[in-house]
Amino acid sequence: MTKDNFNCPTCLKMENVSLLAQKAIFGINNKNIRKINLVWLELTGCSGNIISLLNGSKPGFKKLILNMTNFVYDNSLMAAEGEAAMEKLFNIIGSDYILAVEGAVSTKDNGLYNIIGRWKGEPVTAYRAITELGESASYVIAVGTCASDGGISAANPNPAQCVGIDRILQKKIIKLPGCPCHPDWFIGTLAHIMLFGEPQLDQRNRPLMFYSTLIHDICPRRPFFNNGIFASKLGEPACMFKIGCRGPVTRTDCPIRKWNQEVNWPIGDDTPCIGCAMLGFPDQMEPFISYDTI
Amino acid sequence: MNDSIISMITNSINSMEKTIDDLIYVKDSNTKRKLINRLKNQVSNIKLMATELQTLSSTINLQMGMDNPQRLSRTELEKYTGKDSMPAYIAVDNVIYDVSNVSAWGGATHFGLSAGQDVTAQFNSCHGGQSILQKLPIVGEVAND
Amino acid sequence: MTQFKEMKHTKRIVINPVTRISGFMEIEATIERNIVVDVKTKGLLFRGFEKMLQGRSPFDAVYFTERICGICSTAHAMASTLALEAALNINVSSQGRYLRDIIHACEFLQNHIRHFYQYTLPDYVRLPNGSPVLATTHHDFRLTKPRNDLLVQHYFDSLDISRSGHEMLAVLGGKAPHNHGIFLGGITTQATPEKIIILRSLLKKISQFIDNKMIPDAYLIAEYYQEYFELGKGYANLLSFGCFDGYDELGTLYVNPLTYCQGEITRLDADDITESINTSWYIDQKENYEPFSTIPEPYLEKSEAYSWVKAPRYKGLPYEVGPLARMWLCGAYRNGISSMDRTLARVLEAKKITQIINTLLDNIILEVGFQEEFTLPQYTSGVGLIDTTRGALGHWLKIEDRLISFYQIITPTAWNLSTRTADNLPGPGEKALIGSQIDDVNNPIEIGRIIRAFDPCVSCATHIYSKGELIQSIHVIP
Repeated sequence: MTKDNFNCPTCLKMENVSLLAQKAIFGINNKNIRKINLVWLELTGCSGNIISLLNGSKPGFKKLILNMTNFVYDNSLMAAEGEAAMEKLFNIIGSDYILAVEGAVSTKDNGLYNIIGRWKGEPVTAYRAITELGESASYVIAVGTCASDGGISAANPNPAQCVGIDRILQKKIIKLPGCPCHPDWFIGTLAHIMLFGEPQLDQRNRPLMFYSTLIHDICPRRPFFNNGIFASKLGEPACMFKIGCRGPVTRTDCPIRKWNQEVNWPIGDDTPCIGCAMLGFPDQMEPFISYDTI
Repeated sequence: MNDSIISMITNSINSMEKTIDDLIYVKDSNTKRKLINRLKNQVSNIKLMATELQTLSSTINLQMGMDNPQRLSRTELEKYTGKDSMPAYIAVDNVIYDVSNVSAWGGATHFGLSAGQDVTAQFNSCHGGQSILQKLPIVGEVAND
Repeated sequence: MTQFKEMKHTKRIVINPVTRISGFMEIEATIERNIVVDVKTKGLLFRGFEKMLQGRSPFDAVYFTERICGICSTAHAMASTLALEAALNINVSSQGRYLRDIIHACEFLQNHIRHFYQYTLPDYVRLPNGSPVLATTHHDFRLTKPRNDLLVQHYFDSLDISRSGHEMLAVLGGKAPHNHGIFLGGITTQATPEKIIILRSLLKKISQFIDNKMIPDAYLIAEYYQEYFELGKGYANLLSFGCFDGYDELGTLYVNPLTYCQGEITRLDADDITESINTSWYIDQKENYEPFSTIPEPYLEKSEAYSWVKAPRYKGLPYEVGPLARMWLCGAYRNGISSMDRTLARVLEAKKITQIINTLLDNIILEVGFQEEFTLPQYTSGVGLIDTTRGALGHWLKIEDRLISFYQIITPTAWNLSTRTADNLPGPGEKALIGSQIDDVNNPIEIGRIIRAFDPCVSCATHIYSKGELIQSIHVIP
């Protein structure tokens, strides 16, 4: 058995994003596929997903913006400011572009609780930005739980009246929930779109290649669950079901892909999964930490 | 399952009655011996079926909570939150289930619901038609207070 | 490019979005004869975490408040954990503090490297044509070509390094952003030999980059843009809640809770912190209040208001917070207080943080657990004050019936980008901009440079609040 014919599904899963991205970059270098225009809108959220994207290594951000995409707009990173930045955003309409959106959309008071720019004298609310940029994008990707389903921006009682972008746009949206979204999930989806078009999605429009199995079903602590060995506090190596682990209801590949160059992940850190990638996060995933459950 | 075993037992008893009737009138010792053997076989059959019924019945008792299915009012059910050393119970369609070790009920909560409640409406709107309940251990039934 | 109205020699300039910050900000400046005579810094995001937190389980606050901000989520995990420990009367062991502070320190490293290279550098260094996101319209690039190219190279090299900062964070924290490892008692997991080795290895890589590239790069820019030592002075009032301080055996490795005003350094008294909403979009019976006393409601119709950022004050005065304040207050940096000094202090602080992490690692005892089955009292309150990546952060919470009944947050950016109070004193950011010379009013690059040196985080300027009564507060000065 060599590395080439080693068919372990876990290992293959780990390679999928690197392979897709490499293929995409190779395709661009050989002029078989085009570099797409990528617009990254930060809306009503914490802007944590672009930070998560910066943490990606398959490829790293340099290759992403120089070799893989025409990265056109992002509030946190772009060199231009003010009207010049807004110009880049509004001038892309009419061209072919993929729109990545993080953060929910505040709808209270006509969206004035979140202004992302000023264009020709008028404030550009998050609401206006998503409506104008959304419908004419070739693909719209909701990055993170807030853009996908409202997330913590829409937590009860939702003072800014935030909603996920699917409540604003008519268009189909590919959802990549997660708090934040893992950089691999975004890069893998993007590369797939560039090479093969839309990836296979589940009925919540999440790519099956990242969101199919429950964490519980691939959790290394599952034998503890099966044998009724439960932690009663954080910091124990056993199953955290009694503390309130949401692994059994959360569909991501965190146990395999882990986080930050595979160095660790929440359950590996002796804390329960809090279901951050699920519809219903955070309200329906709380309490995150429960003591005294028998 | 139970019904078929009971009808088999009934059939065996009927056969035994017939065999006994025959024995009263038969004089020939060979025929008598044959009829007594037949009776012995029928008794064995009935013993076998009784054992089957016994096994079945204890399985049902296990699912029904140790021979004594509980009847809890909704008020009493509220104590079964999974906390303070109480198991986690929920009620759906008047049947009470123990979710203390059901994976989807981590920390004795599920999508914002706490154990100790009747979750019939939420269950039906979300999981109606799915075979989830068949897999849950039953504790008893709701006593309407 | 910005839009402007011309009125005699007066021009009104609006910059929106101010990019290369965290969150959404507009700057409106009035410029007369090339001098900024008035300015408003406007935070343009509100989510209302306060109301959200009401009624939730107190333990959940640690993970919930992290989501206020993506680049400094660790800061909020720290402050809310400290507030909860105060409320529950939990004594944290030194080991617990060391490991937790290592996680916190990693956030500093990630942030400062990204802030210098990704947020600051594009103002001074011409980035290559390879990507539209790096293209700018201004031309004030003064570095010689070889030096410019070197810094461009470092801009890209830094991506791996700042990423490693978060990798380090995740070793003990589980994942970054929004880690799981910071919690009551210290951290959730335990230090193992393997983890320490990984931490030391990553730290070495990061330290070398800071020493050999980031610090020289910062000084190089300072050399070519010396006027920024005169621009952006602000009030020269500095404040810190203290961080990496007060260890039982190690003493203070960085800075104590101190303030600096008119040349004098004094110990911080947290009772003298107040907040105002005179020119921010809120309404309340009180326009000035103490943190535990009340929470205003959002109110966009307020005519004189221009921002979601409130106005924290110490002894009634605006104070600047952040790396410069810390480095100044502990005596490590006394070159000056200006825009360029803010940037230099930040990169020098990054080096200091690596030294602090080294010291903490040297004192770790392996395989110690810190977690317990924590119990909640029915009624209690607590405060968590900590100096973090951008400056002083405070969480004030109350618990009733074992649930959160009140939660107030005052963030570093609220201090720095504060709005005006009734006495019309501008916030520190505004003050820093006022009086600045703008060479080209059609391209006022100076404004962005000055305000970015504060490292604004407007997602953080959202407060958490709820209606509450004044009760005795328990202060924790870590």
